[in-house]
Amino acid sequence: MVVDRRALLTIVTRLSRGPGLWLTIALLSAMFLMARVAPLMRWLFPGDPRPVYTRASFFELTLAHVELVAFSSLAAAVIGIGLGIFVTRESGREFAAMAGAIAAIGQTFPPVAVLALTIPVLGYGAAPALVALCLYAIFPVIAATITGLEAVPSSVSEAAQGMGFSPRDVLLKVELPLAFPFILAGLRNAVIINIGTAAIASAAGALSLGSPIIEGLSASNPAYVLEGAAVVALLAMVTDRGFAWIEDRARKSGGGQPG
Amino acid sequence: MIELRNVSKIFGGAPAVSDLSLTIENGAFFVLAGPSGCGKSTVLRMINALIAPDRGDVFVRGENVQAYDPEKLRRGIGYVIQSAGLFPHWTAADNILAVPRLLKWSPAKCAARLDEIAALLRIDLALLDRYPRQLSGGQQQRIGIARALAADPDMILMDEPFAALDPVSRAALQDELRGIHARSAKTIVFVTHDMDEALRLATGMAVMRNGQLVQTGDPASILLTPADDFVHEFVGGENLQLRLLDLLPVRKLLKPGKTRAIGAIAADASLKTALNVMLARKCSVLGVEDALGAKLGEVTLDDIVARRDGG
Repeated sequence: MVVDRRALLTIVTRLSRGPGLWLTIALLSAMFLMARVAPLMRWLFPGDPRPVYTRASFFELTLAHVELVAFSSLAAAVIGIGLGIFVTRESGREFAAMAGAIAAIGQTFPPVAVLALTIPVLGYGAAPALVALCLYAIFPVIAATITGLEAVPSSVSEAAQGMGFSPRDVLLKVELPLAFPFILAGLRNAVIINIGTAAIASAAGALSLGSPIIEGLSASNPAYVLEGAAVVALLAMVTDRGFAWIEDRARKSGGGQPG
Repeated sequence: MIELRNVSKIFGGAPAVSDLSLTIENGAFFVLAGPSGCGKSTVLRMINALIAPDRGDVFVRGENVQAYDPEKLRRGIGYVIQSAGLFPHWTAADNILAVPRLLKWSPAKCAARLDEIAALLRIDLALLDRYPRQLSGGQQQRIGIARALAADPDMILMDEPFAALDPVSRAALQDELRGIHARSAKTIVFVTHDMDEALRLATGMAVMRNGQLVQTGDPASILLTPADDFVHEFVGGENLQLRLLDLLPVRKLLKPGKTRAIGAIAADASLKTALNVMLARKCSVLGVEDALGAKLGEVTLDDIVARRDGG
């Protein structure tokens, strides 16, 4: 008994140490056990004949959602970091203002409008959603990359250059590692925003956690909206915790931030 | 040998260096001195091609630097800047080994060199695993110098390396550097606005103003015969005589033989130090001993005052 209680205590303390594990458990439960909340939904929304979205499993929806976010964020990261690097080089400095402006337009252009503009070209499905999400995510990545690269003390890059580092070495061995915490923070922003925004993909006919939300809206079934939104929120929080963990690790490994 | 021929550089319409010619012999400890903004750093950075001259040519080891592959040129010239410029995300050891690794030395050779350089610069081995932010300013600059020496270049460029240090660390590193220079045949080009530092280190020096050389020569001759009022003012003005004493070793005025003087001073100490000791002890004669403590003779206040060698 005593041992059991102690074991239980260890588990409890470990669980209460960070919300990350709780959130992950909540997310997994929501993904796999959504059908079990039918009684709750029935109580919340009396008179609803089908209070739980069943057209696709929430596991499938989450997976599709994660895919959309992952691919669009990856593309945004490659483009954003690439452009950020380009405009901080000698040869690209004159394009800095332009890149900033384009990124800002990408950010201010509502993703729904992007969908409306790209669907005629790309057709219905995931493609227009990917374009919209990617455009939306580029801005924070570019901004963070430029900030990070410009935060590298000029004495450090000058020393590297003066010692005979090639421009490529200065970038890869000195500037990017030092800018990494900034870039990671920008990426975190972009991904979290994208998780929320990716729900609109379902407006273009793609599968995502937005599917129950949009169906709930059009069929006046608030239970669907609640279910979809709850999983989106959990996904965002778990991902955010994940980024916090990576940032923590990066800091501890001594890399990155000048003290 | 480093040679600048009729070099000019204009920054934003203002000339930073105008028609400057300078030759630095192999093995020299050459100090470029002058007030802030006189163009001395620009000259230094033209030597390792960080800055390309608008007019004129720079030759290093007989070859025009514009003809060099810049990375190859720089890997063969040590470079130290004011704030050390250590890589914050690398340990001290990794910082020191930056150039050897660029040159693709084997890990065994790198490790051996690390030990050697740590011993040379008296770097506590415990510091080698630390990150720059965990080191004091003096320790950082010691690592910075170790980094410049790591690949054993025959030339080292230093841009006000000690300007940000406290006087104790600065003096210690100056001594270290002078010792390293004396023991090796390295050419050091050293930029400073601090005249005391310049005089303490230089075997040859140039005073710059407004992008031009005002005077070139050995430190003592510049002190004794300043070319104009500017140089006179810059090299010491009222303190000139004391500065001159600082340049001369006690050995120069040594009177060999038995001495009855109480207290002794090392033969390699400067006459300024001797004067200081005399003032402190209210005496006018000091015994002189060599590094091992053997009595060599004495030095007297009268001799210091009447000194007429001029270096």
